[in-house]
Amino acid sequence: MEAGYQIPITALVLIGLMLAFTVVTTWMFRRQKTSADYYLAGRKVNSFINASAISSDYLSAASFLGVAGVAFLYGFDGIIYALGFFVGYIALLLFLASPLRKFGRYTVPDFVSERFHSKQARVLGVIGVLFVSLFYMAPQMLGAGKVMGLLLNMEYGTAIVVIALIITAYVTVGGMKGTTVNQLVQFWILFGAMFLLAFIPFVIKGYTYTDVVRFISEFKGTPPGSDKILDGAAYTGPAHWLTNLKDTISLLLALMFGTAGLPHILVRFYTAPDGKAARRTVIYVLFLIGMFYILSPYVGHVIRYVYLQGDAMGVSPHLMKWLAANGKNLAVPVAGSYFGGQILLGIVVAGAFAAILSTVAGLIIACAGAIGHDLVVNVFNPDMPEHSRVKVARIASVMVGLLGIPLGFIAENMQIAILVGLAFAIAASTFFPVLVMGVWWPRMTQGGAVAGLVMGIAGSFAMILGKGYLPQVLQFKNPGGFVMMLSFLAIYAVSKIEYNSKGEAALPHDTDEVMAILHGPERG
Amino acid sequence: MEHIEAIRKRQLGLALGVGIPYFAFVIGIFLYVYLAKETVTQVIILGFPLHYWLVAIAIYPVTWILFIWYVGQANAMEDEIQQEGGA
Repeated sequence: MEAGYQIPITALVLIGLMLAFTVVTTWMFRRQKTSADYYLAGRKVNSFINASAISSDYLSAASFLGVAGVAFLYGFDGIIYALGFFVGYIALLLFLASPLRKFGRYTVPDFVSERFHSKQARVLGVIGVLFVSLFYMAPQMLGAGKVMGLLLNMEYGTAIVVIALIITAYVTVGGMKGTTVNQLVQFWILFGAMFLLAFIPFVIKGYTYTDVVRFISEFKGTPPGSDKILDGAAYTGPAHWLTNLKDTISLLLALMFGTAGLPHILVRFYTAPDGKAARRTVIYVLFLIGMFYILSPYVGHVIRYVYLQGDAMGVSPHLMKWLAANGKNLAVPVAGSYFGGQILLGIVVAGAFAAILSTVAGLIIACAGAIGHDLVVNVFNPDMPEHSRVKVARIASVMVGLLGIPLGFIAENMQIAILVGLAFAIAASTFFPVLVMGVWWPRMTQGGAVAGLVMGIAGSFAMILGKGYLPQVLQFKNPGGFVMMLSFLAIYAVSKIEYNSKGEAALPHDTDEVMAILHGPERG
Repeated sequence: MEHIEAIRKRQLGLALGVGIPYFAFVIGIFLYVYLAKETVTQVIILGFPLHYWLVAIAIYPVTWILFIWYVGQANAMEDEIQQEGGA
C-alpha cells in the first residue's frame, strides 16, 4: 500500500451496500420472458427513473473523473468537454428522441435496417455499435484499473478483472430492468459525490469560483512537483490547450452531435412508453447532467487552486504526488480526500465505482443487442423462438462484458476524457447523420444509408488510427466534426444520384408508411 | 400522405427553428471567445471573467429554459396531431 494512504472505510461500506442492492435487484428481475423485457425493460420505464438511468449511463468515468481532470489539467479549455457533453442532448431531443421511440424497435441497427430494408445496413450498424461502444468501454476499464485499483489498493489488472466480472454478472442476469434500477441508485451516488465535492469548498471553505479563477489567473511560476512553468493567465484564458481553431470546432461538433449517435443512450429511448415521454425524459436528463457539468469544472479548478498552494494549504505529500503524477485522472479523488478526509474520499470512490458500473452496464446491453438481436437473430436466424432469443442476449452480454478485460489492458496509458471524446467522434460521424436523415428526409435511399455508414466507420477509423499517415491539414485531435460532415455529404450525394437515375423506385417501397409512423399520430 | 408530409414539415420547422439558432449561439460563443480572447478576458462581471460566465455558467440555464419551452410546444403539437388523427 502506498505510504500515507489508507483505503477509506466509507468506500468499502458504500460499495458493499451498492453491490448488495445490485444482487437483490438482479435477483428480483432475473426472469425475462421476452427479448423486449431483456433489452428494453418492457418499454414501461417512467420518465424520471429513465432520466436518472440515462444520466447514470452517460456520466461515465470520463465525466466523473475526466471532466474535472481535464479542467484541472488545461483550465478554461478543459470546460469544452463539459459544455459539449451537455449540449449533446439537444440534437437528440430535437431530431431523434420522439421519432425513434415511435418507430419502436430494439436497437439502432434495427432502425437503419428496417427503414431501408437492408441487411447490409444492419451489419454495418452492428459494426458501428461495436466500434463506438468498445471505444467507449476502453476508458471505463482504464478508470476501473487506474483509479479504482489505486483507491482500493488493487493491481491494475486485478481491478479490471474484478469490475468486469461484477458488471457482466449483473447485466447478464438482470437485463435492462435490473440495469435500470441499479443505474438509478448509482446516479444518485455519483451525483451526490460531485455535489459534496463542490459544496464543501464553495460553501463551507468559502473558495468561490470567482476567487479561485482570480488566484489562478494571477499565478506565474512552477507548480510543486513539476518543472514546467504555469502561466495562470493563459491557463484561465481561452486557447491555452486548444490552440488550433480547426481542432476546437471539430471537437466541439463531435461532442455536440456524438451523444445523438451513442447506441447505449439511444437504446434507452426505446424504453420510454411513448414519444412524448421520450421528450420529457430528455428535459429531466438536461437538468440532472447540467447540474453535474456546472459543478465538475469548478472542482477541477478548485483542486488546481489547492495544488498551487501545496504545503501552505496543508496538502499531504501523497496527494501532491498523485496530482503531479496523474492529476488528469486523480483530481477528483484528491479533492475528496483533501476536503472531506476519509469519509468524502470514500464517497468519491463509491461514486467513481458507480459511474464505471452504470456506463459499462449500458454499453454491454447495447452491444449485446447488436450482436444478439441484430446479428444472430435478424441476420442468421429470424425464426428463433422467444426463449432462445433471451438466451442469446445473455450469451452476448457475457461475451461483451469479458471483452472489457483486454480492452482495459490496451487503454492502460491513455487519458479517459480524450478516449471518450474519440468514441463521440465515431458516434457523431457514423450514426447521427444516418439517423437524422433517415428520420427526416423521405428521399433518402438505401445506397445513401450505406454510404453514410461506410463513410462514418471508415472515415473515423482512418482519421483516428491512421492519423500519422495523413497530411497535416487532415490531422485532427478529434476528427468527429469533420467526418460527420463528410458522412452527411455522402448520404445526400448518393441518395440524390440514385433518385435522379431511378426516380421513386430508388426509395424503399414503404417510405410513406414509415414517415407516418415516425411523424404521424402515435398508435396505441 | 400529404397530411403526414405537412405534419413532418411542421415538426421539422419547429425543430430547426429552435435548433439552428441554438447551435449557432453555442458555436458563436465559442468562436467569439476564441477569436476575441484578448477582449473577452478583460471583461469582468461580478468578479468573474466573461468567458467563464458564457461557457461555464450561462449556457446551462439558457438551455433549460429554451428546451422546456420547446418540449411544451412539441408535445402540444403531438396532442394536436393525435386529435386530428383520431377525428
